Amino acid sequence: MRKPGLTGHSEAAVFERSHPDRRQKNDGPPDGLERRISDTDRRTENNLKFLSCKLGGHRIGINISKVREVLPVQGITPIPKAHSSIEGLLNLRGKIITVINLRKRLDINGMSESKRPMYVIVCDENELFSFLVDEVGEVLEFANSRFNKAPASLDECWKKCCLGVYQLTSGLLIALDVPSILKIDQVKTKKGT
Amino acid sequence: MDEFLDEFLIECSENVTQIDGDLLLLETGDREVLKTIFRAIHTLKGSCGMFGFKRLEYLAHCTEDVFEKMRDGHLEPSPLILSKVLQSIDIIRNHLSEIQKNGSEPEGHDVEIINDLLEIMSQKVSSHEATKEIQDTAKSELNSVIATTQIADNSLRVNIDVLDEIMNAIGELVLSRNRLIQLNKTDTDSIFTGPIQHLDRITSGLQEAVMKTRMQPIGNAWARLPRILRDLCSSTDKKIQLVMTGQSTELDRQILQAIGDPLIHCVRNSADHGIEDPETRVNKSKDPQGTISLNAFHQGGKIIIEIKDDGAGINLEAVKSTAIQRGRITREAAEKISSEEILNFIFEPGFSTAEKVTEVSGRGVGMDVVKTNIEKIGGTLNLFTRSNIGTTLTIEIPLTLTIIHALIVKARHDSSQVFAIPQTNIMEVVNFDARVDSLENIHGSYFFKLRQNLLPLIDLGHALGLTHQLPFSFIEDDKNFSIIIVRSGNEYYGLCVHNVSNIHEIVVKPLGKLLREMNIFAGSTIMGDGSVVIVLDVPGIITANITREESQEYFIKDENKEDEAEKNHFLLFSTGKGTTKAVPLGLVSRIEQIEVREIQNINESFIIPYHGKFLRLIACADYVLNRDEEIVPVIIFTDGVQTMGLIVEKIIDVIGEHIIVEEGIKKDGVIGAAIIKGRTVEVIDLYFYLQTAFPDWFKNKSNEKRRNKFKILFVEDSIFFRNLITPIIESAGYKLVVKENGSQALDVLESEKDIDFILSDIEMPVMDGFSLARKVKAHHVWNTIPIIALSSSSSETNKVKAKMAGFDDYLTKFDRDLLLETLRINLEREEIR
Repeated sequence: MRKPGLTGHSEAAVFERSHPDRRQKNDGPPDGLERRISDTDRRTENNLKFLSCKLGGHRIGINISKVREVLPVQGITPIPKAHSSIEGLLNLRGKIITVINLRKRLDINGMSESKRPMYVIVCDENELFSFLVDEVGEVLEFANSRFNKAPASLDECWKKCCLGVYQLTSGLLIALDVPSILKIDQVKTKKGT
Repeated sequence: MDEFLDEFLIECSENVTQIDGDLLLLETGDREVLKTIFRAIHTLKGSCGMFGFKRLEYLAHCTEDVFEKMRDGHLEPSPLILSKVLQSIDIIRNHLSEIQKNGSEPEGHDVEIINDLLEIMSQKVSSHEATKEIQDTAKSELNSVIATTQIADNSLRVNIDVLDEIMNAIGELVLSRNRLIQLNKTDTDSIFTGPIQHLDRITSGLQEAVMKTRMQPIGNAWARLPRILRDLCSSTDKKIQLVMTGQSTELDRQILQAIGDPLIHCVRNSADHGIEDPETRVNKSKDPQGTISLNAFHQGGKIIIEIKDDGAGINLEAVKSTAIQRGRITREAAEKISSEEILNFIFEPGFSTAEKVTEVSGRGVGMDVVKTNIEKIGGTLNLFTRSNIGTTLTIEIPLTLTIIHALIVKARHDSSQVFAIPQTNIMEVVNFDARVDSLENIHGSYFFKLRQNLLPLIDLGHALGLTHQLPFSFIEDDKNFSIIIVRSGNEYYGLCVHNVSNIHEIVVKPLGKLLREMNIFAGSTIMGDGSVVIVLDVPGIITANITREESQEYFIKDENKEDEAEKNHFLLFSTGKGTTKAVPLGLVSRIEQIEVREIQNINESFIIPYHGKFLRLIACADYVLNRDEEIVPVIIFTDGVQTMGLIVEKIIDVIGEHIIVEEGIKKDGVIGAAIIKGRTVEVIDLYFYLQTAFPDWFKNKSNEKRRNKFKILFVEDSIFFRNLITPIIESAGYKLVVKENGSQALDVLESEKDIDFILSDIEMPVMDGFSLARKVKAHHVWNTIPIIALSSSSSETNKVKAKMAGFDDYLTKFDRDLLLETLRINLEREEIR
C-alpha cells in the first residue's frame, strides 16, 4: 500500500510517479487543486477507503478491505495474564474473537468518555480480531496522491503501527497498519511486560 | 495424505507433459530423447504404485516396457508405434484428471491399449524367449488388475476443511441445544418439550456421526514403523520383530497427527536403547530376536496405547547418577526416592539432549518432547520397567479433542469469572473441610495431605493473577473452597478453586494467534448462555507455578513416602454383625455393584451372568444375602483363568497401614488379625474361599504341566505372609518348600538337590535374606539358582542392598501378577538351559 518515496508536497508530481503508465494512456493530467476525488481516480484501484474512528482525540482510519463489521460493545471475557492491550474474548455468533483495546495498544492514557464505544471486527490472515475504539465514523475515500508518510517525529509505537496520514479539511486521518497492530508480542518483549 | 496426493498429481502431470513433448521430438528422429522419456515414465509408474493406483501403474508399466525396448534398440519407433504410445499417454492423463477429481482412479481396465502395446513388443522381438515370459506375466497381472478394480469403492474423499466446518457447525448446534434445554427446564408442560427432546436426540446422533467421519484407525500412524525398525535393525545388527495389535482402533484425526511423531520416537527408543544386540540377548538366555509390541485399545472413553519391549529395561542407577550429576537431586535425596520418581527424570527437558547422557541413561532422547506432546492433547504417560524383562510405556489419550468434558470453576470467590478445567486432567475433587482436612504451610508454600501423600498446592486465583494478595491469602477469610487433584506425569498437584459446578460438555476452540503463546490456556469455549469461558491448560499452569526448588523440596520430604512404602494396602469391608474384615488390595481384581435380582441360586452357590460367562459368587463369612436389597457390592478375584466374586455387605475403605498381624488364629477363612487404626480387623483367607468356589482351583489344567516340574524354596518368617503367598504359588502349579529363616533354607538346599528357585523375605530371625543370598551366590552349585527377594518394604535402600547381596530381583509383596510373571520368566529361562 505504501508507496516509497512519496513526499506529498505536490500532488501532481506524486501522481506522475505513482502512475507512470497513466501518462501514456493520455488520460490528461489530474486536477491537483481539486480536493474532490476525480472520476478517473475513482476508477483506479489505488484509491483507498478507510473506516474512520475516533480514538482519544485522534481520528484513525482502518483500511476498509480489512473491516468485516462494526458492532456495539458487549460483554466479553477478560484473559488473565494476557498483554494489557488485549481486552478479552468476544463471542461473535459462535466464533471466539480476541478483542484489542486500541487505546492501550497505542499508549493513549485515560479512559474513553465515549457513550458509543464500538468493536471494529477486522480480518487479517484469515483470522478475525476486534478493535475497541471510542467511536466509529463514516467511510472516507482518498486518492493515493493524498497520502503522506508518517511524520518522522512520531512516537516509536505509533510509527510502527501507522501507515501514514491523510489530510482532512480539519485535522488528519491516521491510517493504521492492521498487521502491525496485531504484532503484540513484540511490544511485550520490548516493554518486558 | 491429501497434500501428498496433490504433489503426486502435479509431478505426474509434469512428467506426462514432458513425455508428450519428447515424443514429438522423437518423431523428428532425435533418439537421444528416449532416455529422458524412459526416466519420466519410470518415475510415473513408481509413484502410481506407491499410491496404489493399480490400473495406472500397470498401464504405465506396459508403456515403459515399450520405451525400454526402443531405448535399447530392440524396437524401431515407427509412426504406428508412436501413435499407440501417445494414445496410452493420453489415457494416463485422463486417469490422472479422474484422480484429481475423485481421489481415486476410474473403475474398469485398459485391456485394448495394453493388448496393443503387448503386441507391439511381441511383433519385433518375438524370437526372445524372455519377452514371451514378460508378456505372460503381464497378461496374468492384467487379469488380477481387472479383478481388483471391480471391487466397488463405497468410500468418499472429503476435504478436511469441509469436515472441520461441519464439526464447527455441529459444535454450535450442540450449544444451542443445551441452551434450549436449559430454557425449557423450568417449564415441563411447555409445548416445546417434545420438539426439544427430538432435537436433542437428533443433535446427539449427528454429533456422533460427524465425529466418526473424523476418526481414523491408529494403524495409519503405525504404518511407518515397520520400515523405520527395519532400517534401524540393519544399521545396528539387531533382530527385532514388531507385533501390532489393535490397529483398527479409531481415534480423532487431530489426535492421530499429534501422536504420530511421539510414537515413532518411543518405538525407536525401544529398539535403539531397549532391545539388546543378539549376542547379549543370547547371553541373557533370551530369544536373539527382540520383540516390540504395540497395542491399542479403548478403555473408559480413552485410548490406551502400549509400547512394550522385552529388552534390558532402563538402568535406574544410571539415571539416578545422572540426575545427581546434573544437580537435579542431592545424593541423600536420591537414596530415598522411588524408582517411579527416578523414571520421571527421563521426561525432564534437557535431561536427555546431550549425547553422553543418552549413552548412560540408556533411554530418553527427547522423551520430554514426547511427554509434552502427549500432555498437550490431554494424554498421560506411564513408564514401567524391569531389569532384563523390558520396558512398557503406556500412553493414555482422549478420543477427541474438540468436544470434551470439563469442570467449571471460579478461581476466586470474589470474582465472577469462571474457567473450565478439562476432565482428563482431573484425578479427583476434594471439598476442603476445615474439620477434617488441613493444609501444611512451609514458608508460604502450601501442601495438602491426601491419603499420606503431600500434594503441592496452587492457588488458581493467584496463578492467574486475579489478585494482588499473597497466594492462599483467601484461606484467612474463606474456608469454603475445593482442591482439584490434577496429575502431571507421575506427580500430583492440587489446584485451589471455588464454586465447583457440574461437569459440562464443551466444544474447545483454539485461542487466536495473539494468545496462542500463553501455555496456561488450552483454548476457549462458548457456554450455553453465550458467554466465553477460558479452558485452562493444567500441565502449563503447573509448570508456570511450581518451580524446581519446590519440587525438590517435595522429594526431600519423602520420608513420608518411604513410610508409605512400608505399609500394606488393605480393602476394608463389612459382612454384617459389626465385624470389619480386610483383604490385601493387591489380590483384588476389582469391585462391582451387582443387582441382587440377577443373582441365581444353583446348587447352594450363587451365579450371575458376567461378561458373557457365569461368575460364581460366595457370601463372605457370616454374610447372608438379603434379597430385599437392590444391589450388593462384590469383590472380584481372578487368577487369569478363573474368576470368583465375594459378596459383602459394604465396602468401607482402602487403607494403607503398618500391619501388626496376630497370627495363630485358627478359623476357617481367616489367616490372621491386624490392628488397623486401632481396631482389630480379620484378614480373610482368600484361598479358602477360592477353594470353596472351585474345589479344583489348584488343579487348574493349564498349570498341570508346570506341576512337579519346578520346585521353589520359599523363605518367610511371618505366618501371615506364608499363608498369603503359598496358595498363590501353589495355585500356579509349582512345588513349594517353605522355610522360616535363612539357615533353615540352607539346610534344605543341602538336602534337596532339585530346588529351581529361591524366593526369600529379607528381614528374618537367625539368618536374614541378605546373608542367605550371599551364601547362595558364593556356593559353587547353588549360584545358578535364581534368588529373588520378596519384601513388604519397597525402600530403595533395601533394594540396593539386596542387589549387592546377590539377589537377582526384588519384588514387593502383594503384587501377585508380578510375582507369578517373574517366576514364569525365570523358570522358563531355566527350562531353555
